[in-house]
Amino acid sequence: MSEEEAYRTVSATLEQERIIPFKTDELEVVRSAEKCVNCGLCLNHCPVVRAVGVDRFSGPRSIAVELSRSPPDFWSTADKVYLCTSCGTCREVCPFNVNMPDIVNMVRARIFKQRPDLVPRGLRAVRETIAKYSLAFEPWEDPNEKTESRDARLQAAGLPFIKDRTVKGAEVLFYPGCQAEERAQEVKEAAKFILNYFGVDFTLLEEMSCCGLPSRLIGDDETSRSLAARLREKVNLLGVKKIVTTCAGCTSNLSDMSVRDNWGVPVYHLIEFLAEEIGLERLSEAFTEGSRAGEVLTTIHDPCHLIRHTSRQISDHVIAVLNLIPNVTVVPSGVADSCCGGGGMVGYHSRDVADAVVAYNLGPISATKANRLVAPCPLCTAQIERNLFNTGSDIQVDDLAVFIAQRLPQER
Amino acid sequence: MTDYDVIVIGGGSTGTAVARDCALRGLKTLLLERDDIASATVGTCAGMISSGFKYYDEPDIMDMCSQEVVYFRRIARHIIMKDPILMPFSELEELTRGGEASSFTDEYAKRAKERGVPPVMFLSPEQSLSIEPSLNPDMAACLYYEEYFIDPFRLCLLQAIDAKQHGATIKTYCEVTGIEATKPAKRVTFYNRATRQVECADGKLIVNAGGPWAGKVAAMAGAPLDLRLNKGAHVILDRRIVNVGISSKAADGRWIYLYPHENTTLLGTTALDTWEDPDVIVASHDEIEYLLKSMEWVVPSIRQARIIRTMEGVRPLVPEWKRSEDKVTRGYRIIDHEKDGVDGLISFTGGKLVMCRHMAEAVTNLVSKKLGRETVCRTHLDSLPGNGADVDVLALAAEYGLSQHAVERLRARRGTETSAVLALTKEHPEWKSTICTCEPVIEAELRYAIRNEFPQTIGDLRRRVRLGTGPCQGTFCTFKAAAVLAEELDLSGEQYQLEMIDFLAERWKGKRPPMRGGQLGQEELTQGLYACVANLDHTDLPYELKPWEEAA
Amino acid sequence: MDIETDLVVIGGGMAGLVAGSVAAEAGLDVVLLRKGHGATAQSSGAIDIIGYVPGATAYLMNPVEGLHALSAMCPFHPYSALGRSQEGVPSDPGRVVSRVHSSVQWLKDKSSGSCGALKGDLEENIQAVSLLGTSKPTCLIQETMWNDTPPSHDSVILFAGLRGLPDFNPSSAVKAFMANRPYGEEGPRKAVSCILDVSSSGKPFNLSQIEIAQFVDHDAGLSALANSIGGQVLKTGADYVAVPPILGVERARENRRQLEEMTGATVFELTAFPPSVPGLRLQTSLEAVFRKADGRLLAGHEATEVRQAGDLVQVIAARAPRRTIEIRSTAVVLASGKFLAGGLVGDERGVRESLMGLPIVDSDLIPTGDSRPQRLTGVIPLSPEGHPLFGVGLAFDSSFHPVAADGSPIAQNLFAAGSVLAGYNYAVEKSGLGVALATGFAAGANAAAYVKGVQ
Repeated sequence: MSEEEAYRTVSATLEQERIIPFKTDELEVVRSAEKCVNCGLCLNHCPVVRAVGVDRFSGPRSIAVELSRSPPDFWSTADKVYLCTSCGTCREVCPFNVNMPDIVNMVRARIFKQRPDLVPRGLRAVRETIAKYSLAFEPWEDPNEKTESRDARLQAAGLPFIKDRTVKGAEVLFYPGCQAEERAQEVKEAAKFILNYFGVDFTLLEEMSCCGLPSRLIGDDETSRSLAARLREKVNLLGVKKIVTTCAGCTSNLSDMSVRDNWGVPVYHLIEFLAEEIGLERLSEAFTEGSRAGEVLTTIHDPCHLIRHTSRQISDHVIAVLNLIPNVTVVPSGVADSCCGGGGMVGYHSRDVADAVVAYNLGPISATKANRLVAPCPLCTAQIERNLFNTGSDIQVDDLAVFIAQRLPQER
Repeated sequence: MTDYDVIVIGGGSTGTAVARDCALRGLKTLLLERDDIASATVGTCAGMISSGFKYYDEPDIMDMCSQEVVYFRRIARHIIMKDPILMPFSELEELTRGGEASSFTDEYAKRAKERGVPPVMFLSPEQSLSIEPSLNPDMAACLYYEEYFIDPFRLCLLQAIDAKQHGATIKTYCEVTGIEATKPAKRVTFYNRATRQVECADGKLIVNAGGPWAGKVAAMAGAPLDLRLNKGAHVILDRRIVNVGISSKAADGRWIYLYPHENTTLLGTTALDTWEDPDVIVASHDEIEYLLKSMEWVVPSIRQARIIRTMEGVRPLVPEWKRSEDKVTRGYRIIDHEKDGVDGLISFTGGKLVMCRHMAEAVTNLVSKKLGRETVCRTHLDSLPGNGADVDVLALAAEYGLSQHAVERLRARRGTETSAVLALTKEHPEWKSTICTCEPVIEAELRYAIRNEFPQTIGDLRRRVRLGTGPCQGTFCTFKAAAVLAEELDLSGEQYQLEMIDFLAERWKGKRPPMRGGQLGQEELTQGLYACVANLDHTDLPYELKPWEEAA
Repeated sequence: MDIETDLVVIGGGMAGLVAGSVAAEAGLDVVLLRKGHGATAQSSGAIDIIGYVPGATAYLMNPVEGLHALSAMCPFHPYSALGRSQEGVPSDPGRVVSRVHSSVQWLKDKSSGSCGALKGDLEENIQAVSLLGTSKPTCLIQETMWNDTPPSHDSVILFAGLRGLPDFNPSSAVKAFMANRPYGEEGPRKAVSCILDVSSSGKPFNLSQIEIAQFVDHDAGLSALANSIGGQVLKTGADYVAVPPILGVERARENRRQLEEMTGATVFELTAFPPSVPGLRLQTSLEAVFRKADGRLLAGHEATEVRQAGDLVQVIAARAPRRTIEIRSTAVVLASGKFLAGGLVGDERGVRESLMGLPIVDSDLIPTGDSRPQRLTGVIPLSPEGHPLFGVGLAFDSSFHPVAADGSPIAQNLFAAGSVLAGYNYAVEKSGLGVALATGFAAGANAAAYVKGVQ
């Protein structure tokens, strides 16, 4: 038998026995799962367990100590693992920091191959979109309509349009992410405005493409890796030194990719970039000059992808920056760091679960009597906005970039 | 008037297979087991039903093994899983030396199709690494073959239950204390540890399947029986850490392996001649390090994996002396003690898990002949309980509102019996609750096992449902299982608490020798539950020291 | 440098949070690095001070007596260190008691009114009944577990489980309770069990304590529980109702009061195994104390390196999931816990302190870092002696500086507290949270004094 024939035969057995070999970086994840001592502390903190109970979502403990033990059986966990919002609360409270979000991704990646029919339909639809457009959302059919929508959003936000630009050798790549590119365009525009205001030498991508996080969450590991590789190539071609994004998910995912695949380019969320690179002093000056908005009592939502997947320090940055703005008073809700339910692609197939998760936050948010909620992520913003609206709340929900841009001087 | 045609002593793989064969052939059968079914040698094996691949210098045995694999796939496919196996070689000449390769590959290929496996193949280092990236890339090639693994506990139990369903009497916790030659039968006296009574039974013939204790049993009847007892240790690692099995040469040139098995990975085994009481042996530091050091050459990251426990068992080998253990025949011998002047006693030496049915068939043929009965063996044709049509896991999970994974694990243990277990939850929906969160095991399966599979202790439940075999080693299921057992068996408050302590002691036996890494935190937690909160370290309960505790 | 501060506390359990709070209350800028939760969050909510003198089988009726005994018999016990005003002198039991008393009083005051509010007295151990029906001597318990008058001879006690909560089997617990008679011969002669139907989802299976407690924090859950218990009280004539710790997370104390009003019986919680709600309540209330003192808690940050120059530690590197930071600090308290929290790690070569590789000793102060963990264990899993493995840790002086083999501090500004310290096996002594509290209290105060001294 030739080597090729032999390998084909072996592959057939592996497929039949549902063995999908681990990649080297996945072995790290397996080792992390091995640290679980079954203590269940994560159950006391998991927002999905709180929302729907341990029977419907068996919780992080069961994923670490039970569901991820035998890869050939991963297909049988499909009724549980897609309900994880990937918030990382469990990893943060775990005595051994078992890397639950990546364990979930690893399990989903195997279900995707073993039993694609068990991948929730909503996710399969997203996958098709990504395969077709390299974006998590179907792009606008008519570019003019996209421009019209953008202008309408800019007008509503009271922000000017800064011309798009692609500059080789720029210092910073501004990467809006799919949501701000295709839907919440005002977030992209606000960030451009802010960067422009502070004289940052930035560029956009010639052609936007997804960072690969949705594919990773769907379990489409191949697409996720190829999107990451494509983006890396674009970043290399532009020769930028830093990447700045407004999306929490893109921040953590690109940070991860950058380290995993040796991009050699650090990734910042806009708020980190402002606090660490622009500096509070310059920000303060700018806000003082620009303070034309009225009194705002605002509360905050901290995206999981920033505080728990990246660093808790980012939430301190948000408060520090907001505290610089005249007429803005920050009021704590007590649930700022509680998952909004919008992560893990849960809302694409089990909207009831995603909304049950955020329901916990709504009462305390309303109880603050704030008239505004800001979140440094367009996806959290959308999820909270819709759910607050459904309760009849009149709290306005803003992406932090928009909120900040509105409080800078319009022209310099 | 005798009670039984045959009294089988020993409830391991061989004893239960013999009881099944005898019962299926209509012989009146009693099985006596001193502890629980599958509680000794077979309970510490890797579960491989080997094709006989490595016994190439005994072609007859290889032939028998490969035939038996075909039968197992027929009668017990619900408790069988296939593992592809890679055997890395650092130098090509190792493969071709002495023409060994051709003989075993030919033998292996003989029934390959019936066994559902391809012939032995060779893979390049690149191909091998793509299948198993944990391998040391410094290799010339890998030999590739496929083997089947069975749940050894379920196999023995199913054989016992099948025997019972065909009229046999199965008595566990009954230790034989005397064998007396009376006419026309033998009288076997035994101590029933459950009732604490001495009982006896008469049988026309006695089949001694006592494994490592076979010599002791024969001696009770006044018959000599030489055995070569050889102990072997396994290191059990949490979860399936390799994609496929790995087989490799150890520090001393013996073969060792790393096999994914159920939800764990088994690293084994050692082989040391022993004269110690099998009840007291535990794995030694040397055995553990021998295995880790040896496997480290081919899987360099092995020490990063979490060791959850060790297990140590004793092989009752055919008494061939003055040669290394791996040169002793893998075959078995049937000894009719008539030649020793002890009529009616037949003993086994040697054998492997894969041969247990074959051994039973051979001895039952002899028994029938001696009894003058014409019988036909059906053990290779008739299914073991649960071996039936495919079980639709997704449909059952949906019907009962249960986790798919819980149902899948249930199916892997029980096949078509799964429905009967789940049916209990119609009246008691609370029994859908998970008791062992590692494996997982739901309460209904515990109740079903207690009612139908004659366990006496949580340890017995562990063998039946894999309770407490995960990384936490019973930390979070012992107290829940003890409460269920206490309800079902109407245990007293004292017995209920002792059950917990006993099971923790049994787990500790295997956890303690390799204690390191992640198990240190796990054990701090276990102490936190049972000592710090439950205070079971300060109790005046009448705890009886276990044999290995007394011996230490 | 990303952050500059007076004190960095490494570890967010009882010892670290108490040390950090005490120092912050003394006016220090405190940053607490918390990698994850540890043994405190996993506790049953009972604060053991000392239940048994090491190795003894009879329990201590009075923790003060125990502290006296330790002071005389176990010179290397962390409690005994509290009794030394300087190195080399014998431990003064009066000083031990007074310092433990101060820390206990402090904790009771600080947690008063919170979800983790405590009751109990340093001069009396009480029997905390577990959900197995066993009991242990402990000193402080959460208010929802406390009974002003323990069940008496003629009272009826009802163990009430919840359908579908597998953690608690009341019928078996009753059997063990009656076999053990934790309240002594004066305790109740009649114990009965029942199953309550309370479930937020309506499903009678696979319930967790946390989801029931969260449900009971809502009016619907509370009234479902009250109705269910009320019916059983009528049926059984129970005076006391023992339930798993599910009376609520935030509103547990108020819920209990209402339940008692509605049912006419005394309702109290049993101690439970992790993941217990009382452990969560304790952790939450300790964190609240720390935050109220203006301490800065950096969750999700693992200290990865402590850099030392001369006899001072200066810089602490910490890692968040995708960022790293460096903190310059005037002093450091190491409260990283034992094996379960990751303060100590071990492999076949021995046991190590995980962050700085500090020397490890056993309860007799004998260097033991090179001992294989297995050799530090006994053959019986549960015994009053326990396993020496769980008594190993850092050697320390009377100021709670970790010390080198010669007894000299590793660094003048490095302190340690809690189970990373050698000298006590908390599971068998029943002393865990007590030692963490008292040593955290002392280490925090010492660190504060040090920082103020150099400023």
